[in-house]
Amino acid sequence: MHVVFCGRWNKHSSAYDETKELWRVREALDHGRASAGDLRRAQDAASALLLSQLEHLGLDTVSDGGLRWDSLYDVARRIGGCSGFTRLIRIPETNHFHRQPVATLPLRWEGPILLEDLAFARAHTRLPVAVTLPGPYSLARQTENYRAIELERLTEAYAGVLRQEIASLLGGGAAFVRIDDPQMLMHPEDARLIRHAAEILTEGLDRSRIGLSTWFEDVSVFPEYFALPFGLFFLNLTANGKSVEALRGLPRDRALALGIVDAYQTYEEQPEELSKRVRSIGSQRSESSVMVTTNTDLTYLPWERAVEKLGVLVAWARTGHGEG
Amino acid sequence: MKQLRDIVPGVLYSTSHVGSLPQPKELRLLRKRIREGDESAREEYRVLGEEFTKEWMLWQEKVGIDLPAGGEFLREDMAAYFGQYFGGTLLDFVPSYENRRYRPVEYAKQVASAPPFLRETFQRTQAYTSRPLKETITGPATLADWAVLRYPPYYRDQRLFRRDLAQALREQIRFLLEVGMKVLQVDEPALTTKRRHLEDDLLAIAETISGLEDRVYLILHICYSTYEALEGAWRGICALPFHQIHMEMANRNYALLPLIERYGLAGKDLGLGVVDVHTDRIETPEEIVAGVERVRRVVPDEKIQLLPDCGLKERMEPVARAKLEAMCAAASLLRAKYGSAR
Repeated sequence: MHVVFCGRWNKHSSAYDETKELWRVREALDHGRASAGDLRRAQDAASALLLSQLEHLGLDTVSDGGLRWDSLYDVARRIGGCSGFTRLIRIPETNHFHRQPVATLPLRWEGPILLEDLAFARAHTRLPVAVTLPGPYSLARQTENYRAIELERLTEAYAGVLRQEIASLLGGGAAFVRIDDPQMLMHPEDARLIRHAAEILTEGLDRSRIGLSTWFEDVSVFPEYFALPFGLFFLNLTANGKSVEALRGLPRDRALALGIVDAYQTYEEQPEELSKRVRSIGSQRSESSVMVTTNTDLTYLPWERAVEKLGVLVAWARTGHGEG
Repeated sequence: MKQLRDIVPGVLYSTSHVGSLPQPKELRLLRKRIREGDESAREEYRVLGEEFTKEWMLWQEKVGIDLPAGGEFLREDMAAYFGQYFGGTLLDFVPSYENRRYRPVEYAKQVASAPPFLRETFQRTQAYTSRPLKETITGPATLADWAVLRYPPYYRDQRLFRRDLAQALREQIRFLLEVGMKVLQVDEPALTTKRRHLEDDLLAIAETISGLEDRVYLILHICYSTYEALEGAWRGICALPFHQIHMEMANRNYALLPLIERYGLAGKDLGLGVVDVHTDRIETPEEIVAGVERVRRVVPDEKIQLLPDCGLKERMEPVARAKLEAMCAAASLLRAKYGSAR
C-alpha cells in the first residue's frame, strides 16, 4: 500500500539544531537582526532534516512540510493584488492563525511561488514530492475584504491565479498538487460557485495529478462531492462513516488517499483499527490500489509524535496489514 | 444576579485587564533552568514571580485599574499550567501563528485531582490591594482543545474528558472560595473555535461554574473567534450563568458588535476589548473613546467595563503599560463626558 505524507509539518522542535536555529533566525529577522538569506539557509537545513527523516521512515511520497511558510495561506503574499496582512484571523476549526490578505482585483500570478521549494525538496530526496496549495474558496474566505469584493468574484480570481501555480508545479515535477479547501464543506450552499472555481482551477491541466483535501466535516454534506474535477480525493476516515457513504458517487477513474491516522491526537492507533478504517470503503476500491495517509497535516503534533504516527502507519502498511 | 456595579460600585466605565501581563525574561530563564533539572531555581522562581506580581498590583492601583488581576507570572502557559497539575505531560512545541508556539499537554491517563495550586498565590495577591481581585482560570473547553489525547477512553469519548476537567477545576474553585474569592474569570479562547465540540464544551463550562452565580461575579473571556462561529454559539453562551462576557473588539475594528446588536447580551455585562494585544502600536485615548461610543449605542454605560482584547503576556512591558494607561485615560474621558458616578 502506497504511504503518503503530504501537507504541512510542525516546524518547531527543540530536539534538533536545525529547527532551533530556524526559530532563532526567524525571531532575529523579526527584530532586524538577520537577513532573508540567513532565514533561507535555516529553512533549507530544517527542510533537509525533515525530508531525510521522512525518507528514513519508509514513506513512498513526501512533501517538504511547508517549513518555510508560517501558514498555507501565506502564498497570498506572493499573489499580485494581495496586500494588507495585518489582521490576524483564525483558520477555522484549528488553533492556527495567519495575517489576512486584502485583495484588489484583478489578481495576478506574478511568477512561481513554490517552485523553488519544490526543486529544493526534489534535490534532497529520492522520493516523489507532492505540494500543497490552499483552495480558492478557503483562501477567499480568509481574505479580509471578501464581502466587499463578493465571494464569488474573489474565489474565481484566486482560482485563476492558483491554476497557473499548479501548472508551474506540475511542470516542475511535483508528484501531485493537493488543494486544501476545507471550508467548502462548511458552506455547501456555495456548491455552485465552488464547482465553477474548481473548473477554473484545473482547466487544461492533468487532473489526475491534482488532489482535493477537506477534513472539517464529512464530505457527504457537499452535493456531488466526487463529481468535482479532481483526479485524487483525500478522505478523512478517522471521524465516522458518512464520508464512506458518499463514496458511492466516486467515478472509477479517480484515485483515493485514505486518511486513517488521526493527526490531531497522539493516540496510538492499533493495526486492527487501521485495517478496519481501510476496509470501511468496502468494494469501492481494492485496498491495494489506494494510498494511505494521515487525516490532515501533521502540524498539530510535536515533531517526534508526528514521526511516531507516520511510523505506525508505515509499519502497518509494510507488515501485510495494508494488503487487506 | 450579581452585576458590575456590585463589584466596582459607583464607577462608570470601570477598567480591568484580562489576566496575563508581560512575562519577564528572568522568569523565562528560571523556568528553563527548572526544566533542565535545576531544583534550586524553584524557590527563586516563586519569589521573583511574587515580586513581579506585587510590583504590577501596586502599579495597577496607581494608574487606576478598578478590577486588578495578578498577572499570571507563574503560569508559563494558560493550558499547560493547569494541565500539568491535572496529570498531563508537557510535550514539545507546536505552532500557533507566525513564529509563535506553545507546548501542548498530553493526557496519557485520567485527569487527576490536584491539591490547591491557585489558593496561596490568590491570597498573597489579594493582600496587595483593597479592591476585589479578579482570579482567572483556564476553562475546560480550552484545556481540552489545546491538549492532545493519548489516553484511549478520552480519545474515544471527549465528553468524558471535558467532564473530568470540569470536576478538577471545580475543586480548585472551591479552594478559592474558602479564601474569599469574589470575582472569577473563566478563560475560553478555544470555545467557539471547533464546531464539533461546542455542545460538549458548553456543558463542561456549565458543570464548572453552575451554582456559583450568587457567590461570585463570573466572567467568561472569549477571544479570536469569528462572527460566524460566535453567532452559532451565542445562544448557548448567553445561557451560561456568567455575569459578564468579555470580547475582543479592537483587533477586529468592532466587527463583533453587530452580534450584540442583533442578539443582545441576555442582561449580562460586557467586558469590552478596547486595545489590541497583537500589535505594539499604542492606541490613543481618543480612538478608544471612539470605539466605546459605537458600543454605547447598543450596551448601557453601566454595563460596560474596559479591558484589553486579551492577555498582555506577549507584549513587551513598556507596550503593555502604555496600552493600559491609554485605556485608563480613555475611561477618564468617558467618565468626564457621561458622568463619573451613578
